[in-house]
Amino acid sequence: MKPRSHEPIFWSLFGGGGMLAALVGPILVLIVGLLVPMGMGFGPDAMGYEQMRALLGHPLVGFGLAILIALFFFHAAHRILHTLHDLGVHATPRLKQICYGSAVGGSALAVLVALVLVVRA
Amino acid sequence: MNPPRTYTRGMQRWWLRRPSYQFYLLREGTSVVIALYGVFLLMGMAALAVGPGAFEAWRAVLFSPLSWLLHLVVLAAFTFHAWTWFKVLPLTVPPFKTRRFPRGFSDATLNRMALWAWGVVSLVILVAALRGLQ
Repeated sequence: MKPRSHEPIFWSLFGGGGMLAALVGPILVLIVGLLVPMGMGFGPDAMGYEQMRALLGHPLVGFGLAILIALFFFHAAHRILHTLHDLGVHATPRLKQICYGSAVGGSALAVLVALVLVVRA
Repeated sequence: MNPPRTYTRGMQRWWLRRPSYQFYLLREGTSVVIALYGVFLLMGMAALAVGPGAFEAWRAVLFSPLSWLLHLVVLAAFTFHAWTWFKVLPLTVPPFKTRRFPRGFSDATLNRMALWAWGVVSLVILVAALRGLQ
């Protein structure tokens, strides 16, 4: 029997991350990175410690953000791996391990941090 | 006897040969920005878990003018990603039909539906943030 390919798994994670990055990415960057710091529509205390601690202590928000970050990582890992191939860097097993491995590591870290935030809410 | 030596053009700097190749690399390049932004968000989350001091330090970086400038670039990258993502969406989703639309949807319709979904999701998040994050 032919060994099964891992490609569908990584492609799904790439697709899921790409979809979320497209749907919620721009508005997230606009609010968190520009509107809140510039005080446009938001007060000077917006996104303060107590507020964010309470918000991310909620399991849906905490784990939701962790999953979003994890899918960003898998999206980027897949795309970078295949674009490096186009730029002349062959996708060796070693390079695949580096790309997907760092995505796995970053995702595990994100879920762990979310767990801490939710449990100690 | 030597094998015939046919001329094959090298692949050196192929991305400079056509504007569409540069567009392609720019599109793929957004993934680097997306990864870096994920790292930045993760740092904020970790700082939040560490304590008020660490989080205020992260927040101070976020509120610095250099950060505004960088976030403009990040916003451009995310928007470019979203625009191109929804552009190729009709090619990546499996064809589907509904009872009301037994012949399925054209590429242009699928693209328009995705753009509408993008707008609605963005608006909902913006309104929720304006109400909740004061």
